[in-house]
Amino acid sequence: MLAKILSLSMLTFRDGVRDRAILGVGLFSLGMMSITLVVIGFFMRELNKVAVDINLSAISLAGLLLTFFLSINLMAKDIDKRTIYCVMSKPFSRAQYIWGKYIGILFIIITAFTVLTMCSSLTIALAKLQYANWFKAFSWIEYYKAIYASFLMFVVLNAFVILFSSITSSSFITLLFSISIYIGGQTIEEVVLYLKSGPGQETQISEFIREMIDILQYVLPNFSVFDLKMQASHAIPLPLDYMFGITGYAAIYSVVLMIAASLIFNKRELS
Amino acid sequence: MRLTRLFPVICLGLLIVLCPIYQKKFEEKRSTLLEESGIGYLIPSEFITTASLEFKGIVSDFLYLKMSTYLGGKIVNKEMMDRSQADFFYNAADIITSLDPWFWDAYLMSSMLLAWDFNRADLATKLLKKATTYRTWDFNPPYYLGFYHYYFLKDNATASTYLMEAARRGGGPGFLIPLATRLSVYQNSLTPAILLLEEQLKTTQDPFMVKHLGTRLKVIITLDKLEKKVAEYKKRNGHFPEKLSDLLSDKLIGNLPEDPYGGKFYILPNGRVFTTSKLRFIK
Repeated sequence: MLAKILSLSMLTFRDGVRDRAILGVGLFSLGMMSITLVVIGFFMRELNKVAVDINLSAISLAGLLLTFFLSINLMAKDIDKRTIYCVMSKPFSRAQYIWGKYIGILFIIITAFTVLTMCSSLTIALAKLQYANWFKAFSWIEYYKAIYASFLMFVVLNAFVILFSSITSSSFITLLFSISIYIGGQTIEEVVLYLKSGPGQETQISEFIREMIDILQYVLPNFSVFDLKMQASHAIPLPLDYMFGITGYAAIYSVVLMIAASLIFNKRELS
Repeated sequence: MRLTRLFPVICLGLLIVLCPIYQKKFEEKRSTLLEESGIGYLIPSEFITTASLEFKGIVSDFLYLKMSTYLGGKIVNKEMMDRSQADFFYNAADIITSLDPWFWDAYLMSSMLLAWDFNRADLATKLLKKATTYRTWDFNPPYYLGFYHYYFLKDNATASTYLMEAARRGGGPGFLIPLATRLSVYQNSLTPAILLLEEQLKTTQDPFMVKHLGTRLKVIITLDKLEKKVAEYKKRNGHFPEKLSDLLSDKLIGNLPEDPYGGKFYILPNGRVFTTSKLRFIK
């Protein structure tokens, strides 16, 4: 069974890397990283913070573009061009197809993250060489921890993409739902914290909305837990148990979503 | 046939020539618009922190850059800043530091601007207190708080407490503890300002800020030297000199120093020396 899933994921991976969108995303991110060397000169002293901010944001943005424009199309294309029938005519179950697609997409994200991490490390090393005195408060470990956490967010987000793709054949609707989940996941913590704070308690919001937000905080993924850019930019050390915690959170969330996607896709009428 | 082939080439050539002319005209319109609006609108921090999603760090960098370019433009053009803009700068810094509460550059630049240029040490200390809460490992926020309490708010007791806190955090200059314990010795003295500016110059990279701080340090050193000469004059003659030329005639100074800000140095009745520029460029 594992061999079947792996062969499908390799197929998805090859299909993905052939897409020209990946080249565009790569070039855009590299361009963004290369401006680091120019932009940091405009800052007074926290040059390490700015360099880390730009590079980590470029990696996250590349991940988002890949998810929204490549991952979604990879699944929708199979159904649109009816190539899914070729796969289904082979001895693959629908669940294996779903898992194969998901792992293939993760391979693409891993490859993109590896390339971008190497490029951003080079950019930061160059900036560090150029402004050695202003990179004293910089930690490579915290920098790589932030990249790993960002990758975990894409593990969950892509599981959502697969779930929505298993429900609908419209790539536009999948895109819309995925963007909504991303925005909701990124903001829910902030909204909940605000409502619990002093000014938030005084804000006049109906009880219904408060209850809705209470429920939503358990339904929506909390993507803020994966955002460690600020800690990395100030070299604030994060305990290892936090890293294990978010790894477990991403793993559990993704597995639950993938099981749901497999069940839905099993029942789906493809003809 | 030949004309139809040449037509797009001619059009392209014309556009290449006309585009920069159009752009130049447009830039003039845009700069008028920018001058009118300044950077005068601010999005509330509750909204911007949520709307920035996972890009809070880079958004704070961008807003900081926008604020420092605006300020840089004012200083380069030697434009006087309206004191009513102090609240705007405070709010902008508050938003930037809500996005990234550990962003020291934003705290430092805004507090310096508020205290030195707008004479609003109250707002500067408010920002620095926020920095002290978040940057728990850093000696800088309590160090600057101490200095502002001493120099601008004339509150030596609070200043000493903050300087002690800065010394306790470690990593600061060696003079912190003696300065905290001997603040009364430095009463009405420019020494803390010179020490602070020298320390700032050592840790500033931006060439523009180095020049800006260097000018300020130069004037304060001149004021310090002149005050010492005024004290010496009093020792000799039993009274303070009325004007700086009295020091010249007493051969205490070789020549009358020039204020790089374009002002004129003068002696106050209590023997302190000040300048008409108030440490701001006079056009």
